[in-house]
This record gives sequence, C-alpha cells and structure tokens, in this order.
Amino acid sequence: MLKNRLFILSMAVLPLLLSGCDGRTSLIEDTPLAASVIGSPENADNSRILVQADDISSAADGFEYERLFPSTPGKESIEHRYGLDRWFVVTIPEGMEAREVAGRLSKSEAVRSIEFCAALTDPSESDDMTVCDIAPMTKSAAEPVSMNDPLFKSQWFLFNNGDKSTFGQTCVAGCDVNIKDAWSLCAGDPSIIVAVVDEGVKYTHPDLEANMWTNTGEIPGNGIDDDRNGYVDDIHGYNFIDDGPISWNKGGDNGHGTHVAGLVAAVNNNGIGISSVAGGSGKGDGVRIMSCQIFSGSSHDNAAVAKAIKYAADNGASVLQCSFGLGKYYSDRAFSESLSAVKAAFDYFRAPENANNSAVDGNIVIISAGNSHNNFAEYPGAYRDYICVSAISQDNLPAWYSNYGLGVNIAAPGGDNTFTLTMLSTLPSELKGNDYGFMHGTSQATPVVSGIAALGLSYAKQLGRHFTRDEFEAMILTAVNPLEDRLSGSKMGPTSSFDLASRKGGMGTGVIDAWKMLMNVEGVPFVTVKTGTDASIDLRRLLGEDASKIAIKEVSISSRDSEALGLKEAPAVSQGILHINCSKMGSARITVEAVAGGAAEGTDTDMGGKLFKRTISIVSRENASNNGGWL
Amino acid sequence: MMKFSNILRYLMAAVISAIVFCACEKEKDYRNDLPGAWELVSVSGQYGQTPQVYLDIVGDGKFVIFQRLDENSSYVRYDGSWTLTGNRLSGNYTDGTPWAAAYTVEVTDGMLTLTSGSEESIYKRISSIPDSIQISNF
Repeated sequence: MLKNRLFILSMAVLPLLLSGCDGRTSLIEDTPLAASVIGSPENADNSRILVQADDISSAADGFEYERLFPSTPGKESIEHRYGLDRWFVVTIPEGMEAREVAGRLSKSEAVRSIEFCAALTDPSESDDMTVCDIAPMTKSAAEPVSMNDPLFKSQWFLFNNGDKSTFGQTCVAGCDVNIKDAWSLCAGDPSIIVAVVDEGVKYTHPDLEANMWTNTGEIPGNGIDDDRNGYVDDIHGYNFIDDGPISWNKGGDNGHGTHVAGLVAAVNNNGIGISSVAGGSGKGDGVRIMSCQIFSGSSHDNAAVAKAIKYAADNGASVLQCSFGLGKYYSDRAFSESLSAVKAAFDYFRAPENANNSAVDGNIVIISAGNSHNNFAEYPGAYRDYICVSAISQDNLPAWYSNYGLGVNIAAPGGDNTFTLTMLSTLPSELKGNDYGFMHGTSQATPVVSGIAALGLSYAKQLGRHFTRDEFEAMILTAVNPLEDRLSGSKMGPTSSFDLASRKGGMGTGVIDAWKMLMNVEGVPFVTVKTGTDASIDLRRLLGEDASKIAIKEVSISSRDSEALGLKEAPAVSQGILHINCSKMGSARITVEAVAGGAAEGTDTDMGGKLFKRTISIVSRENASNNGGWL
Repeated sequence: MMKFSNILRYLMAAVISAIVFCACEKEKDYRNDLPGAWELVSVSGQYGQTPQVYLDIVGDGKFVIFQRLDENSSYVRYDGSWTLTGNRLSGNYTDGTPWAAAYTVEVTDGMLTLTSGSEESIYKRISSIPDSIQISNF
C-alpha cells in the first residue's frame, strides 16, 4: 500500500488546472464582480470566509469580521507593506451560505479577493507510525559518539557506519548528514528558533521539554494575552486550529509534529532517548522549538496556516519547518493566486525586516516535496522562493515515495519502509505508549534540513558572521554530497521496482551535509592560483559535490576585480570547473549563479529550480603553494 | 696636493671596504631575528584588502600561519617547518606540501621582508598573534 506520510492540508482551494486559466474563478455569474472569488466552497468551512479588502467596514457592512492576522505591536508598518492588514475573516451569518456571502462581498470595489477556508480530512495514515521497540543500549555498548543518547545508534541518518545487520543489507556507510563532525564545531544555540508548523508538539516530552521555546512575555494559564501578541497563554506556541492550547493526542493525530520536532532538536547528550541535528551538547545550548499547530485531529485549514506563519515571524522563529503540502498546483502563479493569504504570510516571514537573528537578513522557509512519487513537487514547497526537500533512504538512493523533478531543490534522509529502520524520533506516548518511534517521508527529510539550517545559523552567530538571506539559502543548497552518479539501474519499492535514472536531475543539488554547511558558514571559499597560468578550479567546494551536474546561469566578476587580476578573457565554468588565467597578482571575487534543481529556474508560469549565487575569492600570486598556504 | 698613487690607494680601500661590507650583508645570519610573531602589512599586487596573514616563527624550526585571504572568510591555520640557508628561507607544511618558493630574507627595524621573484611581502613584528584570531580557527 502506498503510504503517504505527507500531510495534504487542503484541496478545497483548488487552482484552476485548465490550460489558459489564471487560477481565479467567479461563482456568481449573473452579475459583474469587482473582486475575484478563489476556489470552491465545496468541502470548505461554511462558517467563515477570508476576505482581502482595502476597506472592510464598507465591504462587509452588516457582517461580523475580524483581522485574519492579529496585529503585533511595533510591526504595523511591515504588516501593511506585505498586505497582512488587509486580510479579514468574515463570519457567515446563520441561515446563509459561505458561497452566498462571498458572492455578495465580491461585488464591492473595496474587496480584492475572497478565499474559502479549506477544512478537509487529513489523509495521512496513522498506521504509518511504528513505535520504538529497540532496547535502549547501554553507553558501553554504543558506538563511540559525541552524545550519550542511547538510541543514537539507530539513527542512521545522523551516523551510518554501514552496519547491515542494523540498518539493512543495502545500507551504505556514510549515508548520513555527517553530524558528528559538525557537532565538534557547533551543536546549536538557544537563540535560534525553529517553528514547527505541523501537529502540536508534545512540549512536555522528556526529550524535548528543555529545548522548547518559551514565551517569557506570557504568564501560563491566566487566560490573558499578557504580551498582547493576539494569543492567550501561548507559552510554547499556539494551536491555530482550535484557537487555544497546543494539543497532540486528539483522535486523528499521529504524533507527526512531535516526531518532526525531535528530528530538529530533541535534547542531545541528556542520557535518554535520541539525538537530533541541532539539539545542543547537553548544556542547554540546543536550538529551540516553537509549536505552530495547524493540524488538530482531523481539522486543518488555510487560515490557520497563514496565521501560524505570521505568528512564527512575530515571535522569533528564524526557520519555518513545514512538512505539509497544500495541494497540487502547476505554477507559482496558480499557487500564489489561489492561496494568497498563505503566500502573503510566507512573504512576511521571509522579509528582511522580520529577521529574527543576527546572522541572516531574513528567515528561512523549508518545505517538503511530497510523497506521491510524482515528477514534480507539491506546493508550497515547489514555489521558487522556498527550499523544497526530497528524500533518500539509507542505501543512499532516492526513497521510492519521494516526489522529484520540477520544484525540488535538495535531498535529505527521510527513510524508506522497505528497510526495517526508518527515521527514529520522539512521539507522544499517549498515542501508542512509547516516547519514540519510526516514521518516514519527505516530512522527515525536511526537518533534517531545517535542523541543519538552524545549526548553520547557530554557528554563524558563534563566529559573528552575517549573511543575506539569499546567501544563506545558497549555502544550504550547496552543502551537499553527491547523488547523481548513483542514479542508474533500479531499486525496489514496497511492491515493484522503479528506474533510478528517472530521478536524474530531479532530487536537487545533492544530499545535505551538516559539516559542509558549517564550512560554508565559515566564509567565502578562496583559492590561490599561479599568476600567468591557465588555472582550473574545481567548484565542488562552492556548489556541492555534484557541481558538474548543476546548471550554471551566469559567471560574473566586477570590472575592478577583472582589472586587478589582469584578465584577458572572462572566467567561464564548464562541467563544474572554473577556468581563469590571471596575468597580474591580486585578488578578486567571482560570483557563480546556478539553479538548484533542474535545468532552469522556476518562473510565475513554469515550475523549476531555485536560483542561487555563490561567491569564490580568487588570489593570484606569483608564488602559489599547492595547499593554499600563504608561504 | 694628494698624489695620484694616494688617490688610488684610497679608492682601493673604499672599494675593498664596500666589498667587505657587502659580503657581511650577504652573510648576515637572521636565524636569531626570525623567531617571533609577524603580521603581513603589504604585498605586491592589487588586492581589495591586504590579505590578513599572521606568521609565528618558532626557534626550533617550526612555524604557524593564520591567514584570511577574504574579509568574509575565517582564519585558516597552517603549520610546518622552516629552514634558513644563508638568507634563503624555505619550508614545508605539515601535510608535506613545500612552500611555493624559497624566499630571500631581510630583517630591518622590526620589519621582515620576504622576496621571491617580483613578489615582495613585508611583515611587521608584533608581540604575539591576537588570541581572537587563534581562537577563531579550527
């Protein structure tokens, strides 16, 4: 049975898929409309609609309404800039239908657009989850690792020693994210917050509690919005579905949010349970988890997603961890017009003005590609601004279920249920009686990337580095190990085999590596070349191990720098090699613009990869040592 | 008036003195002047910013370099061994890589000049390499 681990949040706000349509449809056809009504009321929440309006008081005269995004003190101008102050939730009066109210409001000149609130059944399969039945190992029996968490040995994605008896006959030693090396430099920073937009995170979990973000401006349980951020008693995050306390064990919950949170930042080196990517060293230095709950039992909707994203931005999150899909769209434009409130919230989160840490101008959005083994990613992950993650398993090959192709930017371990062990992480014990268990999916690959992004931010802070958001995203996309050369032959899925060549060029830039991420954070890579010679510079350090497979869009150097090096010809890149001949001693920077995932960047109308730029520093010297040393 | 022969004698003496002086220059032993910490202050070529290079020459024939060739990079540490033959300084990195060249050495008034071909690097003596730089490398 095809097991889809990815949450498909909403199909109620469907884009128009027909050729030539622009994603909008009018529901009322007998009278001209001023505003567009997006999607269909079918399966939508009939008690409210979302309205984007310049003047809501005139547009919704006679209806009850409130702002979709509560205003945050001090952020009013940014909210206005991104249009969040123009979104409202209009309550449907008793005796009326959402469709009817939408039609009436759409006639107002003051209304820009109207969206229905999607409220569909969560199609994820709760039987996907298996609880941990591995006896915790004693410290003396464990591998010599940096952390003392007893279940670490079962977390192949952190450290894979090729133990076939544990990880499976086709496991490949080294198919992991190289975390032990990374931890020797940095294991996290409590000022870096990752918002887990998902089911509620069990914040009392013994392996998560110490790494939960805590809102110090709120007094627990007093029923008052002490910090006036629009939410009452939001101590570790908020439940945007039920408009109240975070929950994790309603009927229909499967522990997805708690599992994802554990992969990012379960507490390391505490002598219990698992390790995590950015869970610290046991000294209170793990990154922090903020629970932004958008699933509750079988309930979820696009309004909750939009509110959760803005909350994350306003309350300190630097990384938005999104293991969910909002349905199948076939262009960026179709997505952004169909879910414009969600899109506005994403834009707000990424805005430079909302940067929540000192290391990067802006916040990072990381989203799963989906588990339908389609040759395109689902939205919002496929949107060209966000980092979209596909999944591999412990054989260092694409997981059978992972989406690939258009819109995918990078791969990460996500497990594969053809193996005994998938991805081990934390679970609410209330669900199946155990604090730990296995899941697999791009839902699990994505928090691995989110954790590494958070680790990179932590390390940048430690070094006092500062980057633009685009620079930092480029560092993530190029902190990778190769995958392309292994994509030949076939691999068995649960019921049949699939052709690995079909995944060529479709899994992104490569497989994320934590150590390489920290090396990217350490700074602009440089290379010393000998003046007056033809130099060939291997760009794997710059673009990742699959540099020769990455589509190069442009190689640029400033005229001043070109003069400094005495270049007679512009530098050029082919097959991952930069060719340059410097006639003068000096230094310069060369910027390479490339595409993460596929041959072309995504546009409004065509799905594609994410454009990124990396810079390399060239030092031309008459005396150039072979190892880059100055002497 | 000075006789021509005396003039020749003085000239000869001056030439011999110059030769002796020059010979002393060439044979000057900088072995005791090299040890210590040095900071690169200039180098031939057109750099956006002078590369940041700190060199610690240890008396036992070892050296450590901390270098940052791009302002947005971290310091990178190299170490190895050095040899002084006459006024020619050469060496090897710990990974076995030889230095790019053997450099002609000159130490004057707390300044160290290393020259090879048309490339000249000038370092100034400092009391020690700043701790912040040594801490930031791995």
